[in-house]
Amino acid sequence: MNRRRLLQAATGLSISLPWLEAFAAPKAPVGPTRLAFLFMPNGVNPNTWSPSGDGKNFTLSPVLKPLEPLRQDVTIFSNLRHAGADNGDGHYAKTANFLSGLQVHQTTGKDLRCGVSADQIAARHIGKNSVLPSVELAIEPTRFGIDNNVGFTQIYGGHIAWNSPTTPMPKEIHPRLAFDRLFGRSLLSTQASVLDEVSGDARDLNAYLGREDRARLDEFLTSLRALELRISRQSSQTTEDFSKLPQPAADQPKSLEEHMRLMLDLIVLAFQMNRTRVATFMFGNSVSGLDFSFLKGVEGGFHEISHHGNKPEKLAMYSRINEFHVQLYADMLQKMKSIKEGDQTLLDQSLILLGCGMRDGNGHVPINLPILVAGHAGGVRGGQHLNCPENTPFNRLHLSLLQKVGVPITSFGDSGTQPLEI
Amino acid sequence: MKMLLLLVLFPTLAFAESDFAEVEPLLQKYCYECHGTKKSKGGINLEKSKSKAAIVADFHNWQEAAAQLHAGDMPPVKAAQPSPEEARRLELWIGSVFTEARARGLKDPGPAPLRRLNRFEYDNSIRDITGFDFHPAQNFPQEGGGGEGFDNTAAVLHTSPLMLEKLLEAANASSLHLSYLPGPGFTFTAQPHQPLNDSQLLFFLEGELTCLRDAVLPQKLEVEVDIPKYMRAAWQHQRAVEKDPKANSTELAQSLKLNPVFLRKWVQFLNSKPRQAVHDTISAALKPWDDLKPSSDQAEVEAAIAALGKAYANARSKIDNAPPDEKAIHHKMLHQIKGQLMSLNHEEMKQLFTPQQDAEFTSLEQQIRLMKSLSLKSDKTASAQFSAQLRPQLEALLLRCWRKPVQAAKIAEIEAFFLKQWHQSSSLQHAAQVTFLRLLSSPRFFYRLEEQHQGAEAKGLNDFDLAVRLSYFLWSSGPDEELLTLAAKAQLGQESILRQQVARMLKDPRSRALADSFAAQWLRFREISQTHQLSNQRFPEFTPELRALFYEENAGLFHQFIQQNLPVAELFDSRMSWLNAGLAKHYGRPPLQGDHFRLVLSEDPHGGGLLSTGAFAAITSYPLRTSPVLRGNLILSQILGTPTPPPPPDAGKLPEDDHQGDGLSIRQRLEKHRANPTCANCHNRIDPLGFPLEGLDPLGRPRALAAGAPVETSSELANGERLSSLVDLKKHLRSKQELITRNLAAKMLGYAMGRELEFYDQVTLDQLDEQLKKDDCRLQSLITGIVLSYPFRHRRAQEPDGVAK
Repeated sequence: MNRRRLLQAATGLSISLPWLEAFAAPKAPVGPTRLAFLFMPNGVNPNTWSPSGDGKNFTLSPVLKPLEPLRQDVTIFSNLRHAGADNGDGHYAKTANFLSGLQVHQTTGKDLRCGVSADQIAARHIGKNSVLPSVELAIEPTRFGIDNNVGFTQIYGGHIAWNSPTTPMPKEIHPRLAFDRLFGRSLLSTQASVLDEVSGDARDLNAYLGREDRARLDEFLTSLRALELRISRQSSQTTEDFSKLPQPAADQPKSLEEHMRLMLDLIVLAFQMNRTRVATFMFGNSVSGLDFSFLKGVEGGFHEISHHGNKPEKLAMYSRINEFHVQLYADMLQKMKSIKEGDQTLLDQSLILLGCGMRDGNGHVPINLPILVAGHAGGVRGGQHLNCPENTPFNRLHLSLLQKVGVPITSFGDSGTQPLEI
Repeated sequence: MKMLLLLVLFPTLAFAESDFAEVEPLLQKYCYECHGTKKSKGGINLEKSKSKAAIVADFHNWQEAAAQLHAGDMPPVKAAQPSPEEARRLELWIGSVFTEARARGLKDPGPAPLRRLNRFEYDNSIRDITGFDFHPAQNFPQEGGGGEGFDNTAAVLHTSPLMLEKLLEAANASSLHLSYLPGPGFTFTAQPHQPLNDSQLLFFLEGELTCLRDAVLPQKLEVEVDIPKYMRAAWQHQRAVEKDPKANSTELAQSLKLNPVFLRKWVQFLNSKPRQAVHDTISAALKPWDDLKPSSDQAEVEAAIAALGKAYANARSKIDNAPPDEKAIHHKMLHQIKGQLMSLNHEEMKQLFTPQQDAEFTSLEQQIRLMKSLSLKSDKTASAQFSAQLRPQLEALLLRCWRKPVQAAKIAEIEAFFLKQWHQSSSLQHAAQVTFLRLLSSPRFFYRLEEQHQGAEAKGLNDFDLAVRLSYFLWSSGPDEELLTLAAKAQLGQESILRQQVARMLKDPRSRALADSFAAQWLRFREISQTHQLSNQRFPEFTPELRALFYEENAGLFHQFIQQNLPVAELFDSRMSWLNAGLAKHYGRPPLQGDHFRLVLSEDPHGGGLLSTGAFAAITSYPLRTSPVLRGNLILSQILGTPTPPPPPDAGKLPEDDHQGDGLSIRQRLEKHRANPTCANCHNRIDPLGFPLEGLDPLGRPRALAAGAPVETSSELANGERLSSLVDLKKHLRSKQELITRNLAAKMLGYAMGRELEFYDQVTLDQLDEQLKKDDCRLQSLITGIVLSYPFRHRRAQEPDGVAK
């Protein structure tokens, strides 16, 4: 059915030709699909998260109330888990593998190992055509050192995006630097002019190094190729003028809330301008002790509150913090919904997951993870509470998401070949 | 038969295997249930190590197992208990595995993988190359930690596309501080700047030359002073020459306190006939002078002087007052006179310059000459002369950036790159900046490359690699001229020279890196500057400024301890503090004046040392209250090096706040907690170390009350020893000096090597123990001991498949 017939059918009117021509003129192409994963540390209050009722007939829990205006755009999942997160410690082993589901190898650093994350898989496919294959944003710097009590390096607690089983993707936490990377030019021509020379240096060295060192140098060469690719994409794209875009201030944001909102806005803007199609964001590192006492009734650090010991007053604070995260998520989704893209919206072309690698922070429970997905890319329906059978692999959802945004894979980790029907 | 042969060939191996079988039933009965393949509590699986070799490889966990058995902490009370004989047998057996392995004299420097410069090392390296501290790496993502807990661990220094972009940005930012002049070569500037093109550069050099000349030449002739003085002297000289043709105007000038160079010029100007062309007005004004005779009297002479003075003054005033079209002629007149009196050649200028000005002048003249001839592209001599200069300049820059000499072909390649950039841009300065950018963008700059070798044996490091290990260990920066020179002479490897260098480097302010990088991570006070959270509402005074003071208090004090070469125990049991006025006020200590930090001795025995600092108090507090558990845990795991296993996942947490209504103090709650045997195991070790610090609030200020009740600072250690206050805790830690030193040595060795320690490193630690015992565990002895140790000075052979071409 062509557009004219469709329009006539819909309006029952015949329309004069000149207007129709204008209407039928080439429109902005339907945007590409986008994918983002937003990670919350420290779990959620298990009593106030899940909606009641299954399928389309569900009632949002108080904590999820901010999503009410968006309920047709959101799918709420129950009973997902990562089997690979059972072992290890309470936090690190449930953070670094949030997007891969594989076991996180206990180490203080010498043999880091966890799976390649879903966002990075997506970046290799749908990220190919944007300036940056993916962006990794956060608000806290990775903590230094190792957690001596459990024998895990803090690197695990600070990274959900893994480019290879041994290489985490570092995050940008400064809004202005993130902006510059997304919307500025990547390199000056002088900088670009030395790339050939330095890759020559690296090749000389490659012949000279041992196996492990060559793997390290490979990281450098791979990064170099990524950068060269980026430069060539940048120059092949029409030079858009981003100088009119509102820029975040050069200072660090004054409040936690402002910081979080700015980073989420940047993701929306980057998606809208097609600077990237894949993003991850961490609301905090695992074991984050961020101070949420700016919220009414909350006193103390997030991590300590998450160990609530079933005390009602702490559970109430815990819910309040969870609700705040959901509120920022909802506000981000609203923005995406207000951005038109062809006859759809940016949200229609995106999938945005919000979740955590554990449920109840008190006992670091790794089952029935709190997971939400918003958006309709690839025809995701939304508007339902998908109460899965107990212990459904979370990777089945990752498989669905990847397939919906157009990644041609048939399984992901322990997903099996059956993606979740969403 | 085959078995027998194996036994003959590998007697120890076979013995070891049978030996393991002896204890396996015990392990099965008491350990594997929780720490086996099926269930690995705390991530510990003992079941996977079924031979002595495997146990040695997993030595961290097995050593811990022996320690737990020894303390009776494992198996836990609720599990099946071994008989005392069984426990002892198992413990001794584990011990014997290690004793046996050590007795074999393990000598293994361990792996030394490729290390990328971390953020701190990058900044420092650039600071020491350029001489300016402008933090080009400040936007690098925070590196996580690994190995023994440090962010200089090779294994965690990844390079991702983002990281590479940051590296290139930092290289670019650094390159803008480079300047280049043909002759002096590469120099650096405090501020970044865009390069000049060659014609601008020539203009700039000529300007410099003029400035230098103007600095020593009088700007104008003073009609009242200069003209009469010099003319009288010239007259006097003329008379003297008539008597003695060899008469010397210089002596005359000196006796009259005149400048001999200028007097000579005046003599030449006034007395030479015919005179060089001057304007008619001036000629007319000189007529009275020219008409003087030897017999003329002083009045005639003065009249002649006044005539020139008048003409000169007249011309000068006309410059200001004459109609515009007449001004030029007066300018010209003045210039003619000044030109004759002040245009000095280099020889004449030399007499006016200081030696330094003279050198500068000479160099500028050469540069200008070279720039001029280089601008004629056909001038082959100039190009050759330039290349001859450039080559050693590049070599020196390369050595500073890449920290070791490179092959001639590489230097030629860099030189060709420089020349190509120059010819494309017609800007030497641009070429220099891009060349510097190219050196800093190379993996040879931001990775630390060591010479590799093949074969079975480890080899001593070459001197350049040793210089690099040394400088990054002590300074977190590249080697300086002195180290590079010693390396070039192949002398650095000598023990006596190494000792001297360590002493020199620790005296150098750059050794502060050991506080900022090593200690700040070991004792975790780096958290104070950034990540640690206390409630803003409860502690509004915990501002970024106070955080910065807290940081300096700890880092500065640690650096002082190193520079004064104090025993390790002094770090914690000391009365020394590092304070300024603001901090003294914060702690309520006797007032100090000024923002600068200084050593202060505390009257009160509670004060002083690294335990009673604001940073220590704050990073071991929750947002609203102190935590004896966090404080005890930091002492136990970081300082004593004997961490407890993690708490079970569902362990309770105490309330957020000590301002709570249920009437229980933190102590009472913790006592309740310890009544639970699962918790008691660890908390009996942790809590007693934390309580003596309860007298300090979350910001390190002394307090007598917490939540309205008197603070209780006394505690009882698991062995029954009572600690009644912080003073007792300090004494207790002093009594543990050897344990603390062993832990510190392990941390520092891991830091120096950039890797996690392995079993063979225990041999080095044993040796350090022995040496340090004799020397009261002094900090510099420890550092020197690590530098002189086998792993620090050796490198393993390359793995077989890394065959070099």
